[in-house]
Amino acid sequence: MKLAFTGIISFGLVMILVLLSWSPIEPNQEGSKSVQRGKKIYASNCAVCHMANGMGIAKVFPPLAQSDYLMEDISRAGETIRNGLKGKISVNEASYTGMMSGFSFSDQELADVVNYITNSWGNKAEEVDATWASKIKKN
Amino acid sequence: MHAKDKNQSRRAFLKTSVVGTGGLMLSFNWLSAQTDTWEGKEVRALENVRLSGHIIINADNSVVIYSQNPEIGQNVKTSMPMIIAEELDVDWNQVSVEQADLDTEKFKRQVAGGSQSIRKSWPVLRKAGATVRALLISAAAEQWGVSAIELRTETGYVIGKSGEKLSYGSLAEAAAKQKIPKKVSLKKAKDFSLIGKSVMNVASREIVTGTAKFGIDTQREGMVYARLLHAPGFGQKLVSFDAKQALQIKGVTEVFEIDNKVAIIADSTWTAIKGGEAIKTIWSKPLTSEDSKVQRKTLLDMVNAKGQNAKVNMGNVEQGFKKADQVLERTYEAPFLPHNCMEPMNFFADVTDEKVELYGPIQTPENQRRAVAKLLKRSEDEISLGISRIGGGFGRRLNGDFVLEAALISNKIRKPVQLIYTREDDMTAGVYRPAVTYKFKAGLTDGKISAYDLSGAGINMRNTVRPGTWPQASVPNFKLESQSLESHVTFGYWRAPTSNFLAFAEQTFVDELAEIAKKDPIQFRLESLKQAIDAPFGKVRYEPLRMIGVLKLVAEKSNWETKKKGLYRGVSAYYSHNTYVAEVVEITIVGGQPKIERVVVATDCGIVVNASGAHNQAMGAVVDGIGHAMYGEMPLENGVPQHRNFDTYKALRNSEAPKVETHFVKSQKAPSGLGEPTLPPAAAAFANAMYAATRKRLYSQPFSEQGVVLQ
Amino acid sequence: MDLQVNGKKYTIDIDPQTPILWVLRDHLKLVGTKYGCGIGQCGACTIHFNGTAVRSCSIPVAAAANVAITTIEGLSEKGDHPVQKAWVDLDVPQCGYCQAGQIMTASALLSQNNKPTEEEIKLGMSGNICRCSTYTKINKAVKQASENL
Repeated sequence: MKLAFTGIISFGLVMILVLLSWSPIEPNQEGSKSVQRGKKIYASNCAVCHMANGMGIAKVFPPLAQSDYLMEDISRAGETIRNGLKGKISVNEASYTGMMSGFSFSDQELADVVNYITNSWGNKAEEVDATWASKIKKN
Repeated sequence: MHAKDKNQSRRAFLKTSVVGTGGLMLSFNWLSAQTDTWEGKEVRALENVRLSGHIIINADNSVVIYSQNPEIGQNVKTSMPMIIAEELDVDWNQVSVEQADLDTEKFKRQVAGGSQSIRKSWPVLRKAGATVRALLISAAAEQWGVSAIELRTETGYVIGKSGEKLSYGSLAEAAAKQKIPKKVSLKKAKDFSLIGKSVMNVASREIVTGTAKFGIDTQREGMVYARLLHAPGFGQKLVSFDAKQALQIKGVTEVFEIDNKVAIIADSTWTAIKGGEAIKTIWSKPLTSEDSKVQRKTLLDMVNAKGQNAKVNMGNVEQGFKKADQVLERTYEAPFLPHNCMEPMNFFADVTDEKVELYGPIQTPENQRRAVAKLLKRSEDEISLGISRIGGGFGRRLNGDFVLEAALISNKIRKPVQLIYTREDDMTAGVYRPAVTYKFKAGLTDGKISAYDLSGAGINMRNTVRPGTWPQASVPNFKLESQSLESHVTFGYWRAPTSNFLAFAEQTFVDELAEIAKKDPIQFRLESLKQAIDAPFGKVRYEPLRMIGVLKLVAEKSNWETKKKGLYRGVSAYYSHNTYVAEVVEITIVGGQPKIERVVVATDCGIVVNASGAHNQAMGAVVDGIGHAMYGEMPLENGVPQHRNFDTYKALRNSEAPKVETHFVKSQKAPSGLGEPTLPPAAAAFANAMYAATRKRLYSQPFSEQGVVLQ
Repeated sequence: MDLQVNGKKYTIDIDPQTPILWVLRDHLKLVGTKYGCGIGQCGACTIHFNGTAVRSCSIPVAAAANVAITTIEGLSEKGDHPVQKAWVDLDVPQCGYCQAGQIMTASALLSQNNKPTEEEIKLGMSGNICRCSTYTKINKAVKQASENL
């Protein structure tokens, strides 16, 4: 009897310890490193038009922060970064007619900067990787 | 005959002076003078006396010195006037510098090229300053009624025995009438008070306030803008074009064919750009012979072929290889490189019946005036050429293709024309650093190079090798071979022509030899250089002692002997443009990739004229060299350049630029140049450091294509 | 339309799609702002849009209505902005063509971050290309300017 009781207590203690050591799932280590790398890429290449706060410039450079145009189609974002964009687009119900040139990023760099912009300023999205980026073709 | 010539030149000199006296317009104190902008050139109105081609002395004792050579960023606009000011003995604070136009009567060799400006003008400029100083002393002697020997000068004053002073300004008019002395004495280097100091760039203030004008900034009343559409690929011919849409654009006035290109004439730069975009052109078929893959294979076949054109052939390399302890053979390949000066090509031309006026950014003004005269069948006397400030030369603007184009267009439409190239026009226009391939083969005997055979093949390259440079005199069996592959791709002189890639190939190859010989890379080179001093093979066409000097200096400054864990070093040494350079690149490895911690550069260029300018050139060329080795390439697909702008053509950015420490050998030798010499060894030192860290060698550029990512 | 450049009002009649760069250079004759690539990749055309650094080659002039534009000519009255002073003091320029754009980027950077670290300077300035490779001196000058704001 006593043995069984000890067993139950031990089991319970073990369970409590297991529960206590249970932490919420950490963001994928590769991903957060990707976002950090993406921040650097953004600062050198994108911030000058889309601004460090992702707000862009009214009528000229669309915002990325909470941008419907960006978040509704991440693949299109990848294509835009790789190939540039000309002509009229609508972002958050405002119209932009600008000219963006493409960037010669490596697949990893493209994934990094996409991860940064889709996970900053209130944006949240699943992260992509270099394999995903390799499928985004240069025109 | 000779005496007559001398008198003639003397009279001509005086004639210039007398005409100069009070011969220019208004009188106001130039120190607070407004600069008048007149037809795109800045003209200072002065009360002055022009005492030589280079020097004007004003009544208020201020001095204007003309800088004769094109200024492309090498800062000769500061250093060349410094040389004059030193011998003239004036206070630098009283000096202002003006850019000279092309004027072959007043100036010799107005060329920015080969890093030769200082070296070639050193004796001339010193004499100019010293001669004017002598005239001023002579004038003072006359005024005081004393002998010139009793007098001395000090920062703009002639000073008598008892300390009485006369300013240069007060003596200028009289000086112009003095007899020009047969001989003048020059200062001893130890007495230099200006040369060797750090002197601020004379154009700094204008540059930082946006008032410095480059060729592209030229604006004239009645001027039109022209843009040229050239063939998309090399060797293609214009078949037809449709300008209907272009001519509908407001501001586009004319479109016509000229010299296998289509010219658009418009009322503004943007209209000219848009006009060009609206033109439909049809060209002949692209040429597969101009494809980079095809050319690469051909170049490889060429260097591997036997019995080719030998530029140097000493001893017997085949026997040497047979007898050697070890033999090493390696092949190196380089792509085409565009220059990408930040200021795209442009030039101004105004052709009228009376005269031809040319103005803009060009490194070879005299050649261009001659070429334009020939092209337009005009006399050179009718042609004036003004040199603007130049937004980077790097050898691109040694070619005057765009000068001829501007002249041709203006001649046809008889209007003042500003020809502009867009970045795309510029990057795809050719005049590239040629693609080149090298095969090195060397034999080692007792740890020394006993046989050496270098075979080079390049696109339109008259010479891919450099006879006379190390290790020629250090090796008993020595052969240099060179071949040229003809191509429609136009040839350009790219910063340190030939050396810019050959040094990389040679100095990384040498590192492999040192490793086989089980010797420290610096030690291996020092021993080989010593061979050229103790028992040279044939004539030595460089100074091995000076090369030893920079190697020892770079070893000292980089702490070469002291190993540091995690720090990897590579060394290289190279002689080009009469200057000796040794470099050590230090890297650490971050995530398997190199981070350049610093580059240590030791240079022997003789006397350093402007210490700050020297550092800028030495540092800039190193970073430029590493940047292009990392990223630069212009692949052609059937002759069509595959990069058109910086969106795909990668340039080294600020975040990747390494720190560079520059050290100069203290020397009394006459100065040699700095615009180019520190570029050739840079990529090799980096690649050798990479090997030290990763045990992987690099045999082609760009390095980024070999998986190298700068941290 | 009306443009406000360096505190001055200009009235222009130009295709509203013309990039500001060319309006400044060809029409207002303010040639301090340079053309390097036309696609926003080199930074030579950098100006301030209400104090923020932007690439004037990539913005149609229509977007400049009611915007205070500052070009290199208007950065300071006497050429004595701390960035300009540091540039001269440290002998930064070589050919000088890219330098106006560098200075405009640097001054905007400092107005947003008056104590940038070396890393922040390098990143913030990376949009501006310099073929003469004055980069390390540029960074030194930005640092020095930040200490003298």
